[in-house]
Amino acid sequence: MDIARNLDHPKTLEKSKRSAVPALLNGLSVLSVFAAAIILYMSLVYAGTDLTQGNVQRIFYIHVGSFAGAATAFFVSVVGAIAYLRTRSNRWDTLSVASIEVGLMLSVVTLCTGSIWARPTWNTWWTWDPRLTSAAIMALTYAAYLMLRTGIENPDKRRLFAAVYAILAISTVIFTTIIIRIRPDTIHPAVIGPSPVNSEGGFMMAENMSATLGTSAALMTLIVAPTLIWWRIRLENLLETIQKLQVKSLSN
Amino acid sequence: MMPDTTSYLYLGLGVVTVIVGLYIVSLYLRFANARKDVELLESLQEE
Repeated sequence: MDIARNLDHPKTLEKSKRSAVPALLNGLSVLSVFAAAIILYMSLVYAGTDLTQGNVQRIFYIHVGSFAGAATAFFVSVVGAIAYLRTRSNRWDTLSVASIEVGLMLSVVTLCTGSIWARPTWNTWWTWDPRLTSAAIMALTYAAYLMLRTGIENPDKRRLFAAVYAILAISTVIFTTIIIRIRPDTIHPAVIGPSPVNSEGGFMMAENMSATLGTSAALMTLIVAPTLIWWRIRLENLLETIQKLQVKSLSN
Repeated sequence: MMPDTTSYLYLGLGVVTVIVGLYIVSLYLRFANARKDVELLESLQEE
């Protein structure tokens, strides 16, 4: 009886509500694991081996997929930022910061996999090519967002600053995406669409390669990135609860 | 002749595993710490 009474207690209900993971999020998490397995299988088995680059070319499916996931997350952060500026509702700011953290992590994956692919292909780990430079600036811009955010103590000013920053920062994502189309001096291959004249390490993709690339980008965009963002939102909500409880404790 | 670049593929897969793994572990640890803080603050308020 005591146990039943405790379970019905409002605070117990509140706690269990807070810690309960939505069924959809659980489902998406399981799907994300399957998505990662599918990407790995298609990259390592289904896609086949590139005759000029060898096995390292398979890393490009993860490289492009992670960039697709990062770009999606950064665009979601803009949606959150614009919605926050319009409504001043904290949940939009939470969406924005969660998306940027996930996007930054995926950007680091993009930069690292690109660097590893470049070593045997271009004979260097890094070069100040326009595309590589813009991708590095993009990642640093979002890293700065997270650092600067923590430096503003006033919550309203922090959210306002973060929203404006997130809107401006998306220009680095757009620039990184289009630079291989507008700069002829880049050596970075354009995997999708027309290549610049002098790109090196380009792909003459077979059908199974295109399918692998498309699947990787789609799964990262539609399943993996949203799942990670949702988990990060839950963490941010928990951190906000702590702040509220701290304020309540101090005021008592 | 096709170049043998398999070691770079393994390096890439290893690096991706480390980055994503570290992020997921950091999320888990931050969740665990935040839950402990919430429980502590709630128990302090109940007293």
